[in-house]
Amino acid sequence: MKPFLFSVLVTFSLFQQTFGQNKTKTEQQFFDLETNWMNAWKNKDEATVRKIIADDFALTSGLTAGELVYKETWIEHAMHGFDCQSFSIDTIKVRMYGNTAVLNIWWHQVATINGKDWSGSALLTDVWVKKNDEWQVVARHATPLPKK
Amino acid sequence: MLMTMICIVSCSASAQTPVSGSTAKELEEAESKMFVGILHHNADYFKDYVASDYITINADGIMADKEQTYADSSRFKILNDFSWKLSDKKIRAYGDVGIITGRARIYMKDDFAAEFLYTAIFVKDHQKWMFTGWQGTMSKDSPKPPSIPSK
Repeated sequence: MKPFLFSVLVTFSLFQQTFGQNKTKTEQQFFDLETNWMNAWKNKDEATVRKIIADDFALTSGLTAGELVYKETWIEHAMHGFDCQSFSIDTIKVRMYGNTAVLNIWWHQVATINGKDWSGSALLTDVWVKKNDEWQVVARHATPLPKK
Repeated sequence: MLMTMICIVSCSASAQTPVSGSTAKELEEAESKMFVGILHHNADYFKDYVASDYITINADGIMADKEQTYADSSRFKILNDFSWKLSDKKIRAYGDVGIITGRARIYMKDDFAAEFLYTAIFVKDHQKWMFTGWQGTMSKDSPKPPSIPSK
């Protein structure tokens, strides 16, 4: 079996095991938080994005040469470089540890960056922390999936 | 295995969530133990230090749980041939959850083979930092890594 096909099958298999049922209440809660955040990105709603992203937010992404992307840079790119037409959170898995939640997400977007197509699927690990009764995202790691 | 660990741990990962020196040291030790345990496919490490709800997302897009990770012997055969250098590390802690992000360069003998960015997540359970999550992504300028053979 080709390695790529194998990787796809393993990945689908894991998600089927985990997400073959309806979302739990917790998964729905974080699905909604993620949707709010990404809608704010899509709609270029900077005020909402600023509330959702913690000041110590850091993004790890293959888009960079290795440097982390911090809150202000993320917002700058989100508000001025990206143009998101649509997105979907296909699956979400949540692990709770007190006031910290670790999310694994199967993500898809149709988007451009500075006019260049930036559509595709990605696997995300997001970390949310409850601060003053509000959930804020402190970390995201994005790995793009190979295009089929 | 060549392990270049950055000795200077940021005493403050951010202005808002300073991580104490002792916690940062514990997390860095847990990370060091993790690299050795995982790369050497150490059964005791998996049993004692990998959380039961562990999930990995590897740089090639493979997602796996603890059992699937341990069973992926073809991947470990490849990993055994590599040496590693870690850099650009950032350590944060939120309650009992520790997050380490960094950059890893892998070498086949002396040849630079690939570079990836990683996020490692540890959760403290009974005073022990358990390896709970991993995600890796090839960096933008990385050479194409060796492929993992099919099973």
